[in-house]
Amino acid sequence: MKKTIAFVLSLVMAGSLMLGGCGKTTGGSADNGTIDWLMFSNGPADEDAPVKQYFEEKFGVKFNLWYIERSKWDDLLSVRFAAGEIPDVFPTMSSSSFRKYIEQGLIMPLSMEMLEEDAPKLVQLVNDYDPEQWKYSTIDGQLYAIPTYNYANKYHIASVWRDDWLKNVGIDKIPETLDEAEEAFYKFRNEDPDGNGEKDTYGLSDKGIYNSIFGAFGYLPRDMGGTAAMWAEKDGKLVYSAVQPEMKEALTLLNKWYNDGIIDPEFLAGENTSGHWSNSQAFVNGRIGYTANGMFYHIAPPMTEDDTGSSFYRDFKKLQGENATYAVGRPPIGPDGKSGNFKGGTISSGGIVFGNQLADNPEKLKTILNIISEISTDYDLNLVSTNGFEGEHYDKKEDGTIIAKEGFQTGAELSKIGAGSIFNMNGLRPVQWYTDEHAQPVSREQYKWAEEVTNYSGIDSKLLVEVESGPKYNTVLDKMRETTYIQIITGEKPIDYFDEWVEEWKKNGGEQLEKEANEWYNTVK
Amino acid sequence: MKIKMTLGDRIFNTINGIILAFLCILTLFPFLHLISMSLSSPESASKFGLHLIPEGLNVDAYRKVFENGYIFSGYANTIINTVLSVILSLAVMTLMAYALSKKHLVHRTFFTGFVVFTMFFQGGLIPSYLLIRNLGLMDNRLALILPVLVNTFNMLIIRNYFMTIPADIEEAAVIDGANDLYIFARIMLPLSMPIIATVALWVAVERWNAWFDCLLYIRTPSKYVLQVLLQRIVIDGSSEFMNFEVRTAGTNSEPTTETIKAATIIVSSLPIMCVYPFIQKYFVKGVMVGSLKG
Repeated sequence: MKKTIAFVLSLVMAGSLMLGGCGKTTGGSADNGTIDWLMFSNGPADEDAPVKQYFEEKFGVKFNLWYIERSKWDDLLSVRFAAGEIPDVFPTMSSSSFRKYIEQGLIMPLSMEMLEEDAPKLVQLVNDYDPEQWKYSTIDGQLYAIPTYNYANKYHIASVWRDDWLKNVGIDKIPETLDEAEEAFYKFRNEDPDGNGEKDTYGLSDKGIYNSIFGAFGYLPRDMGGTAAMWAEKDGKLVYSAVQPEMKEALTLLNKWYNDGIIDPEFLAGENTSGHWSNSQAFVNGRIGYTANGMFYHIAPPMTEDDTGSSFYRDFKKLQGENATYAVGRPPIGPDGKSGNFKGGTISSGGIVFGNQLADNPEKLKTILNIISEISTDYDLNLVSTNGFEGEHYDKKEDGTIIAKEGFQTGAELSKIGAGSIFNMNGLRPVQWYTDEHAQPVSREQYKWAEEVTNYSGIDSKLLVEVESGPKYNTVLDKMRETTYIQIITGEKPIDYFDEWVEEWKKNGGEQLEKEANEWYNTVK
Repeated sequence: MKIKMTLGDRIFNTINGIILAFLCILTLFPFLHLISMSLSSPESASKFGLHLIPEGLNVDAYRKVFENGYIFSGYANTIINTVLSVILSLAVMTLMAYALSKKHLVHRTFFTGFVVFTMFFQGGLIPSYLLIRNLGLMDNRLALILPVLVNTFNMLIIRNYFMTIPADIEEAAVIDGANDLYIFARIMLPLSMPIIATVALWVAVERWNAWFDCLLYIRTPSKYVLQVLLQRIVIDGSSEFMNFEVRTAGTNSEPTTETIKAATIIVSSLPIMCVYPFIQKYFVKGVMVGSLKG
């Protein structure tokens, strides 16, 4: 009896495994007229979305607009892929998924000749940003994606100082070097800069440390998100930033600061306790006097009369009073003249890719390339793609400022009418649109301001792809790095523990990662 | 009969009462905190510390949540989904559990093993997706109900409860001329109310909170369940698009404030919390007392 059951069960199991394995590939729609279109968006489009209908008429096609929830992008998309459903055109979320799609044969190879012939404007647009980009959309010598450039990321994270506190403690210029910054931090802690009679202020917290102070020693150990490692170039080779000897010096200083109470003891939990990553509750609540928490537009004060300023600015003014001020300084310069705040980096590996089913359908690919070209280079079409129609979805002021009407303001609301980022391909647009008359007045001013305040020295990771053994080692190494750094800063482990960490790093795959990183680096250098 | 209380008893009871009342209030703190956050102005909500009294009272957060055009259809979908799931899955699970609880069921071990097998080995996400798609249930509300009708674990719990009911009761009923269906409906079910109420609550809460299957199978916004819509409200604004130059006045991307998050939590959890008190009365012990003598 028992044996029979075991037999039946194993049959059932085998059967279910087979069923699971044999999803038939259906691919995108076969007919030329319907395009399976997937872009990042904050919500689904309505079936009869006006912007969608407009583009359908304009280009003589039908769109099947996909919507994939962004927070579950990889999970949901891989289910669809496994079921044989592949969009005709879609963006890559990360360098690792880009590599995965290629390995799984989901996306079609492209060639420069074909792009130059079918989409010359698009090629021009990419080249205007940086022709280097093509290299990063190429894997093993084969081009797979149309690169997308992150223009705002050419600026680094802003160094934000409480300049009213600086005045209160008798410093009349914004600190430029690490020594000056240190002096200011000590005064912030000890001289009651907010004048409330209590010793309740600190110099800085985690973002100031990780996005800025480490940079004064030449490297940043981890990226903005707080998990991934940073890679730097040293003597023409890629190195893992967090094991460089300079970091030991940085940790020595930070440990001293921690012992002297300069660092907010809550830095372990982070100065961003909730909400958008660029919030710094510790800063807007008047607990710390220095932070490096966000991009210029996250912390921007009002730029024009209509402008209300960033929510960081508004929160700060509401909580600290109208007289409280902050100013943006430069990344502090360290003992060896090095400096740098975190910078996201403009080039990413991947971009806009095309489902493999298009390989047999060059006409359809041509149609799609044409649509992308037109929307990214024709200003009027581009405006429709982001904001809908004038008079219906937005009004235009004399200076060109666009005022979205009630109900067409948030990302989700705009997505409903097919606008937002659905047809605005990853923000692909001519580079000059950011700063010339095509830009919104406020945005134009913000970029001007960014040029002034956040264009000194940025440190970005030089490794733009996930190397082959990355998934194998990174999780462990990331955790070890974070723990080690915190243990040394808080004095739980002595400074010399750093050498032990370097040894551990080597043993746990660090050397292998470095080898693979440099193999990749040699292909793009 | 009234038992006389000594002074000591009284003091003990009073102190006990105070401590327990205090504990009760403590459990309410997180809710109070959320409610007060949801009613505060965004600026005061980003202040440090516990918020128990709303500051700068405003209902903008709720307005924002309810402004979403699909919120009411979302509520309706979730309620329909929950109610139907509870009724249908209890119907299916109790029938199955009853059969499996009978020792004289032919090949009982085989059937039980067959069912238990599914608890440990599942096809996984992709086969489920293919199944739903090939059944033609894509974008159909039934796709959220049918696949999860039988929760093996819950079914086994009901079966085990059925097995604790003495067979003698049934025998008595058989002698009185009752058939299987009659016994099931008139004896087993009423006697099993505590476990049925418990499982009903589990199913209801699970279905109320479910959202991933909706993301997977549902395409039409008017068929979305509440949780998906609320999740979107929270994410909207807190995620940025690469290079997405915001071409609107006010310009700067407005991160979803804490108040809106708090309001969505209240909106999504309040209704299901209201269900608890009504179910509580079934959690009474001793229904079996006196049903069998000798």
